[in-house]
Amino acid sequence: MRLSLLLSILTFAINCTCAQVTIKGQFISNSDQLIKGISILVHEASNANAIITYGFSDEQGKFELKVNSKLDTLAISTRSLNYRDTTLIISNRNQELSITLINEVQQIKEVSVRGTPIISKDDTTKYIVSAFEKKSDESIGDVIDRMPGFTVDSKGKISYMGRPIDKYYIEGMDLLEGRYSIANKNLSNKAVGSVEVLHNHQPIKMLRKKQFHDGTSVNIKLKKKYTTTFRGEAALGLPWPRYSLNVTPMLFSPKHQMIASLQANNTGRDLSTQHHPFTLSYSEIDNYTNTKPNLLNISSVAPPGISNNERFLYNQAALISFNYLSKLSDDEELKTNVSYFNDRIEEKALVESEYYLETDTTRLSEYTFNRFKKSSIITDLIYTNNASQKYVNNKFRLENYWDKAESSINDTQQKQQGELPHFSIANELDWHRMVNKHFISFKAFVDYNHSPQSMNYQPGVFNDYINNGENYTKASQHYLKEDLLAKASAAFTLSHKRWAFATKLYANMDINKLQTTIDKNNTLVEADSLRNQMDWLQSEFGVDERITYETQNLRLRFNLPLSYVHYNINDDYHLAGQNIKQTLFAPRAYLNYQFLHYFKFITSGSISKSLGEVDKLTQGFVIKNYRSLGRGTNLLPQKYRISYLAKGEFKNPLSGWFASLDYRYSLNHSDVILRQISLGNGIFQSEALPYDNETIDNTINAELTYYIAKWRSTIGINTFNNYRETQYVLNSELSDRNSKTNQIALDINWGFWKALQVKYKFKYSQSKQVTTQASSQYYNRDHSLDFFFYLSKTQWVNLRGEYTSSLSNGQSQSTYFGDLTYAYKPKKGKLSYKIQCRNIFNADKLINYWNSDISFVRNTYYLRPREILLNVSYRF
Amino acid sequence: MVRTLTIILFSILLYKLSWAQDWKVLDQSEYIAEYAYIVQEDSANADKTRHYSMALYIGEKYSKFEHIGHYYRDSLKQASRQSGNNEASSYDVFSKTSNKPSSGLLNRYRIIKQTDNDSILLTEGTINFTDRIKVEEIIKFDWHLVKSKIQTINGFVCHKATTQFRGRNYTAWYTLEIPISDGPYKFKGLPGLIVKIEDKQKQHMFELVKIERSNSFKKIYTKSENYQVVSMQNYHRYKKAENLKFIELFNNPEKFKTTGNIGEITAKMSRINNFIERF
Repeated sequence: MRLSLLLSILTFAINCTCAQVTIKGQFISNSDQLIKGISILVHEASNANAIITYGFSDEQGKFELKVNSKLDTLAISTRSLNYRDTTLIISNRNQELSITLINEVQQIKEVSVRGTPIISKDDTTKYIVSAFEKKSDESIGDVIDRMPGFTVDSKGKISYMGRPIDKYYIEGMDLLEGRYSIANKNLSNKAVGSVEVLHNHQPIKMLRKKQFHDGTSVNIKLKKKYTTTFRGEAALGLPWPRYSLNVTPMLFSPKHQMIASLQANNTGRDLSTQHHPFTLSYSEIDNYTNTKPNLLNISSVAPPGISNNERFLYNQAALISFNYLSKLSDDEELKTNVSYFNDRIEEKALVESEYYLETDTTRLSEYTFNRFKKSSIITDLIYTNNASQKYVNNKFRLENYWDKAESSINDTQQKQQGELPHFSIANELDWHRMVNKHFISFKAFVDYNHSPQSMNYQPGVFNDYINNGENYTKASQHYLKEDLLAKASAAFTLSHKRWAFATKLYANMDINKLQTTIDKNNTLVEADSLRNQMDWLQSEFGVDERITYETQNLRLRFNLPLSYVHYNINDDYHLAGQNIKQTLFAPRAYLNYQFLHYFKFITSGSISKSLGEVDKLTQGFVIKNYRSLGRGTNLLPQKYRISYLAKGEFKNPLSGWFASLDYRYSLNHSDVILRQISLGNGIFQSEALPYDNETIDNTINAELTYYIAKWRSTIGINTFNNYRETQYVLNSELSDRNSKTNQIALDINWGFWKALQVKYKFKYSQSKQVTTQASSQYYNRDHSLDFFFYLSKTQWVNLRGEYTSSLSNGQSQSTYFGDLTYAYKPKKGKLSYKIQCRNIFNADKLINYWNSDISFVRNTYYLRPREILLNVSYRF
Repeated sequence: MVRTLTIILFSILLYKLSWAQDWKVLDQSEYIAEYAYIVQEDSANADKTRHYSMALYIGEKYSKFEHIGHYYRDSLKQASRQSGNNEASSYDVFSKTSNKPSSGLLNRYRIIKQTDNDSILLTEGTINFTDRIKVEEIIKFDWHLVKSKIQTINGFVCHKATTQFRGRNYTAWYTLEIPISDGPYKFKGLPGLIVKIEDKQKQHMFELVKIERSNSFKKIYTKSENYQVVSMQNYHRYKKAENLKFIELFNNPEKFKTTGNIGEITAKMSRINNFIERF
């Protein structure tokens, strides 16, 4: 009873303090119709955003609003799609209104917020391709280049946040391994739904979530499960005959994948990047890269520092590539990659070198004309079983190179001609098994290499050494290297909670044979000082203890490899047989910490002790090139290295910010230094000299990218700064060399307008070197501006301008480039047409500089002339 | 000439007829609002969210809300039926709709709202692949306007309002710039279009990503026949039961043979448990 009384008093009190006002009314249109469903708002007269209440009109156009407000005046507003917005100021009391609304169709603003095209979830960042693609894109690589966080270099190598990617999957299958350029440059972006970045991706399934892997991989998600695409392209052009041909069919299904490609051109398109793999597959065999050794070489010319090699590459290339993957079961894959590459390359340049000697400076001016004939075949046969409990990978590789090179200096002053073949056969087996949460692994690697290379010099060189100071017609340097390498390792990993202890036992054996001889006018020179015959057995036994501690955000790893090495070297001519035994220790530490979701910090450090290469113990002279004759000592260098890295990363795909900053330091110590002795006229003899010396490198890299989703634009800036201190010996003087390189680059990709896309790149670099003899510096500045005009749905025009300039010793040179492309793709059909005019201003040469310890070189590189190409392509 | 005309007329007639047989046109949509639906499907795992594209077709009298893939699928089915290819292998149709509805919680049914004040809602859909179910309900949202809370979302000045609906508390942001009293899912009744709405636990979120005039006047239709009318509670129970039945079926190796990982499939299905409405 008491309670109800209290309640009624309270209710009364509330009614009193907030007098409720009822506003009734009716809507009538200017054509005397009752209007239903109109929304009516009551808000403060002075502030339209302070909404007090709202309602809707009923079938009769009537509304009733109950207002609780202390204000004297109120405003009521109506909004509707079919009537003009109306606002009335009324007093705050009970009343009935009749409101007439005027017919007027309202246009609401159409808005399209592009759904965030970058989606991040767990360890995957997904980029929606359609949000980044442009009509002028020909392949998925063009789109990836535009995605924030990615950089694709001129060779087609993809990096994510400044680090090269590990794997390039297509629908989760690694068809191409390091040769992913074929897909990246030819797979139509129209067939791709999204590009996924897999962070910390562990390619071995059984180790996933158990063993941390730091690498980043990319997975191309296709729109359809079954995809067949085809790219056919033919181009002809002037100066006659310029041609380019590309026929690339691809097939992707859940069970099979196939990419075949036939390409040929003489338009400067470099096909070697689709032939040579970028990274050796995920292989722990100590990052062993099986590349062709260049034992001898013609005089090389540094290529101009511009990224677009279609400006200077005089080529005649052909590539045949066949790649097939078959899924034998859910976990098993068998794949074959066969690639044949043939190229004829011409290089023309004027090389002006200044050699800093103790007393004077020697200047040389050489017109160099180089011709390369490259021909090679690489075949891989790979079997993989990547199951959740075991992993088997066997890779068989066969390579053969039939490379040749020719060079002439100042026409006939010096001719060089070389045969540079190489043969390699290798097999790698990688086997992992899981036993009660612990891992056992076994690896075996066998590799045989054979390279009998030779080089002819006409007229003969180094007369004093080879022909008692007399001139002669021809010198030939022969260099044979043969080796058989076998590596085996077995590892056992014990895991306990967050800790893992991996013990690896390994044994490596390398049997080598090295033979060098010099021919004078096609007859062997029998002096021991001009030949080498060595063989050696290099064996290593070791134990590598790896300790890992992992939590969700923190990864800590220590490697403690301890090994015993034994070199047994026989030298037939120089009686310098050696037996070297050493114990080596190379501890490493690594830390990876992720925090606040967006940040990542990595730091690592290592100290390592190692021995130098036995190849350098050639005590007989070898003609390295026509200006340099070198020999080693019988001292195998003892080296140690200290290195340190710290890196911070920030990545927020939602806001579009990507940033990274890293610092690297390394100190390399060796007890042998190379001594160069000037023989006058820019000719040098080099030899190894026992002397303790150090090289110190400091590098800072910073990268920042901002993707503005609303404007479909990306802005990126990166800097590279390196400072290096090293030592060298010229004649009998020990000298210091300090060099500094600074580079800053800006990259803007503006896609705000539908009809026009603008790309702007700016790069500035400066290089400064101070040595005991001289100091030199040079600067480079490049601007490039690209306009893509999307004239209609079927046509686009690309106008590109480039300006590059270099400055040194007060001399400045600049070159302008212009290119114009018009493309037309009819609405119907799969054909498209393109007409291209390259190098409109017919720029014919480009100047660049570079430094070595004893010289400063200015290269004038001859460029491709103005060219017009007509291109027809068929794509689906 | 006359023959061609007759054929054209006849096919138009046939088209109209075939349309009338299965589909009852309620209205023409004038605007299409596209919403991103971000949902945490597993109530136990807050790290995993899924993203679906949903569409609200707004007509004068009715509006329809469904997964964006439905429209493409239905129109393709319609087109293939016309072309005489009766079975029009559903594979064909499915493979053509890249953005097809998947196993998501809201993706199998459509919600039709009457745009008038008292909203009559109609939820149609299939439980498994055969049973057609319909729910009819009247929902009046009790919106509480939060004064002077203004935020710009995707270019629209939005006002804040809160409400409670079937076990969850929601915060909605609506805009007066679009005087359409509608919104995603079953939500409506504010003085402007709902631009963003999410529940307090942030397990279900809808956000407007696109609004445009529907240039081809897409139809808002209902397939009124063959539906079993149930209550929302029963619909929900039925769905749960069917889900369990599926899990059982997948776990029975005699009845169900698949190359996929059964454990993974059933685990995936049982993880989809966080329905937007809670009873």
